Amino acid sequence: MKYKFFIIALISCFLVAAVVMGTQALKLSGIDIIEQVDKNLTFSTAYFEAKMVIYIGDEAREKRMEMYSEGSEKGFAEFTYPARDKGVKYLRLGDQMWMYLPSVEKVIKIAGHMLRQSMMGSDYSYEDALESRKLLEKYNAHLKGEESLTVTQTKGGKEVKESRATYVVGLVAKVKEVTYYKRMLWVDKETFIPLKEELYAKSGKLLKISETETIEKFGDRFYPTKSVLKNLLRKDSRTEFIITKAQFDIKIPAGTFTQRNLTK
Amino acid sequence: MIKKFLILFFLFCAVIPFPASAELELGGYYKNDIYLLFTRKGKGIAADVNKLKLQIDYQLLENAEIYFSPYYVFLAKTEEIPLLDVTDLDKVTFDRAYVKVAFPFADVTAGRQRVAWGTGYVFNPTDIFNPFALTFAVADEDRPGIDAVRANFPLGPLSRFEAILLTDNEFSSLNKSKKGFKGKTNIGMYDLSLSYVALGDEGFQFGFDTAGELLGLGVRAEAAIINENADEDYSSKAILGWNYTFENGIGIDMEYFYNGEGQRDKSKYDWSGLFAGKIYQLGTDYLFFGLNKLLDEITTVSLSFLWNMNDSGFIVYPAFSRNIFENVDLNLEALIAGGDSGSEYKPSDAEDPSGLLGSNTLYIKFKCSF
Repeated sequence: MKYKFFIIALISCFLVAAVVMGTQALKLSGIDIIEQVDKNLTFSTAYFEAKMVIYIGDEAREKRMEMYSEGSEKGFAEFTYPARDKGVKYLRLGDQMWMYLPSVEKVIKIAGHMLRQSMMGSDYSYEDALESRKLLEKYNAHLKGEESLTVTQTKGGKEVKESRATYVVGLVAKVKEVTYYKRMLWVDKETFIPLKEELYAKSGKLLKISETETIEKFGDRFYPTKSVLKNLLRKDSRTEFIITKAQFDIKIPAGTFTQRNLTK
Repeated sequence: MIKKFLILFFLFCAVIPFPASAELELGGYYKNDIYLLFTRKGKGIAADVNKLKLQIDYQLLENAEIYFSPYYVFLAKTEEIPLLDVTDLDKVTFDRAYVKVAFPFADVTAGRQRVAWGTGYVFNPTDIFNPFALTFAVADEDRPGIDAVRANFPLGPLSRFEAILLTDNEFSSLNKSKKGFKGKTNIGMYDLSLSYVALGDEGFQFGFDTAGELLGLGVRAEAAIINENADEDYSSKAILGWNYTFENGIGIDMEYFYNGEGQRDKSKYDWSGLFAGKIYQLGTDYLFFGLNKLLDEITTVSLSFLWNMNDSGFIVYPAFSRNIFENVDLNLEALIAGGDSGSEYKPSDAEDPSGLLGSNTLYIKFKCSF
């Protein structure tokens, strides 16, 4: 009887230890989580058709565009709607950006702190558009905890409130060339897409809040197809960014990421 | 030249069967600009300028397009205004009409087109083909085109070589036409260009421009050395400018302009050259200062100040711009001129008997794009 009790106690200890160790092994670090986020959000090549809906109080302005991306270094965007913005193009190569304005038929280099200015009147700045390097290349990541986050999700065209389990990860810049010194991410445990992001200045001031409303699966990758950005430096405004068509790992026409293409 | 081009185009249309895939894009805008002029002599004049501009882009082949931009201007006014630059009233004018063919090695554009050289915001010393003044106060889209053949040879993503020949003379006397070359590249965080233009009569212009980033500032520089003809001395022009945007979104822009063709002593100003359109500035040293702020996603306010440092004349240009509907913009602007009598922006009656130069003007502008 004594031995039987001892054996059961021993097996129980092993089981508890195994469960604890297994849990430890499954627990992800901040770096692990952001690695998964980077894996979802970065790609070799991509083509997007998208629209930006800019809300100012009760008014809304819609802008449509086509975009090509290659790795984290190259990007090209052309606005196709409305008529007043049609033909405006942007080229991004590394940390540099150029804009073509059809009204003046001129390529303009967007340099220095001009990158902080609003892109096409939206809550996005040129810096936001330039940002494409993997988060882990620019930030140190620390897991702050786990939270259940109530988010507005668009499913089947309808907006529904949903509670999602998230990792809360804090990012602090480790390189100088960052738009936001500090970021706080609420990363969806299921898809590893940030459902909410707070973007801070070095002073600690909260500058922008981004929320993801729709996530779609493309092959083995999750990607946000509708997100909302609020620039807190502006009153009563937000910008929805909706991807209407996305293709990943496609062949991009030669000469896309060139100044020649800006003036075509 | 434009007539010849149109005749050639219509012959081309008649002879060449267009492929079924040819794409036609039609766009343009209607503008209604109301001007309230308060002349130097105290007279008030109201004018209403209506401009309808079409932009027709016909993609003939995958690598060839025809672009037309005819416009019509109708002006209603309370009294006669000797508008110095307006020669296109009450008639259809083509400010763009060209054929563009993209070869694997170059883009070739032939016809009436815009050639915009330089990195300056207010002044462009190297912009010898489409010179323009007061770009911060005059809609840049109104810049007229020039008749030319131009070839752009790409030499990489950010480098190119450009060759241009103006076709404003008969073929037999093309040696009198302006012709030029420009090489452009990118080194580090800087765009760099070098250009050379033969002006005819053995005159020439060497040009240089750059734009990039220095200590967080957007910086730009542009310079030109000009020799109008073999009998004249060299002169030079240059700008140096920078811009910065604060975290609160306020943008600041400054540009210094050195005009070697101008005079530091206002008694030596070449007023007749200015009125004849041969020169665009009278003085030697100018400073531009501009502030802008996006109030919300559709509203911008700006304040521009241009100072002739030689005679203390100045222009102040406040502007308010709002996108009132998806494709409709409203601009409220004012051009206020100041300075001592006889200065560039406040001439005396002896220099400008019309009393128009140095007027203060209010603008109410609507623009509807389609």
